[in-house]
Amino acid sequence: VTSVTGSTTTISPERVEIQPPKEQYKGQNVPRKEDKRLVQGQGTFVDDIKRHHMGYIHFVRSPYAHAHITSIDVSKAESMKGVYGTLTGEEVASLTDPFFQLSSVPGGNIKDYALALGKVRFVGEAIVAVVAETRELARDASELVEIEYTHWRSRSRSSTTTPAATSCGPACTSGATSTRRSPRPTRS
Amino acid sequence: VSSSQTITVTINGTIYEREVEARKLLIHFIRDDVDLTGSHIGCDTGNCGACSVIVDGTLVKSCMMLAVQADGSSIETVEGLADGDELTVLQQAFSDHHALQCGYCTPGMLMSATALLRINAHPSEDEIKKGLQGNICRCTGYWNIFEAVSAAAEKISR
Repeated sequence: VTSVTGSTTTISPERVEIQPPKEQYKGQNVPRKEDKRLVQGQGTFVDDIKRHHMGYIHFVRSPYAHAHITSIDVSKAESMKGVYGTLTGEEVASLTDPFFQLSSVPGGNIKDYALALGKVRFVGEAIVAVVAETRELARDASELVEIEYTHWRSRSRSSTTTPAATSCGPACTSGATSTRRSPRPTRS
Repeated sequence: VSSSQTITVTINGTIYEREVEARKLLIHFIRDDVDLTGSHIGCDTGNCGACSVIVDGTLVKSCMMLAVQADGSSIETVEGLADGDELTVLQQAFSDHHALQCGYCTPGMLMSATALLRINAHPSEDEIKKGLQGNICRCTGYWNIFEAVSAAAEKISR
């Protein structure tokens, strides 16, 4: 019998009955019928499926952690030979419902879609989808998508935010620079 | 658009001669050009190890290598492990120890473990863990995979 000093709780081992597992829960391992093909690389995952004239997708992604999207121009990308089409957040929003939100409010009030709509919230957020004949072509065409942003420099000690107009050129991957630098945050 | 080059590689004993774009990754060559889709792409960044293959005896994440770099080399993929219908001891151990669920990471795990057991027939616990550290599994967890590799090592050396 174990007594916890200064407490009325008494834990007596004889009250804890440890039962062996019931027979019904014991048994043999059941070999999985899918194992054999999976360990030989013979499974079929979605990425393994090929179809005639199947398109390859490449996403144009945000170089900013937090910015408003002021304009998107996909015309150059779309005019490239072998490009099937592009998709923007606005198009996604007009074609689909927003994602279901698991969170309660205020998180549950968020309306978001498969592609950024009006604003980007993290570096790498998908903004435009480009679909083309080949993977390489989709990648090349996505470099021709022009997106303009108004972004806020992230800061920790400033209460004011000054928008700085920024243009992200065709490449978008080389890291656009601000046309105007925001003032350094001042300590309050 | 970009420069192409003709390469000759041997994959699982078969010689393939193909014209590839200079920027094509080895994994895309293996999966798209040669149609061996057993090697998977999990991350495209060299983190997950699902695309692991053995190039001239060395374990390589094939998304970290260009196809043109593999010119003239001999490559082993998961499809080349089993002898026809006969699974290797390691493949059988994976099934016996429930070391796979969805099977997506499995080809990479198998190639890493195969490479490990070739250079070290009696790996210690730490050596097995180190041998698998470049491979990420998102559903089975690592313990059963570790057990499968230890069991296979024991069986092979017996």
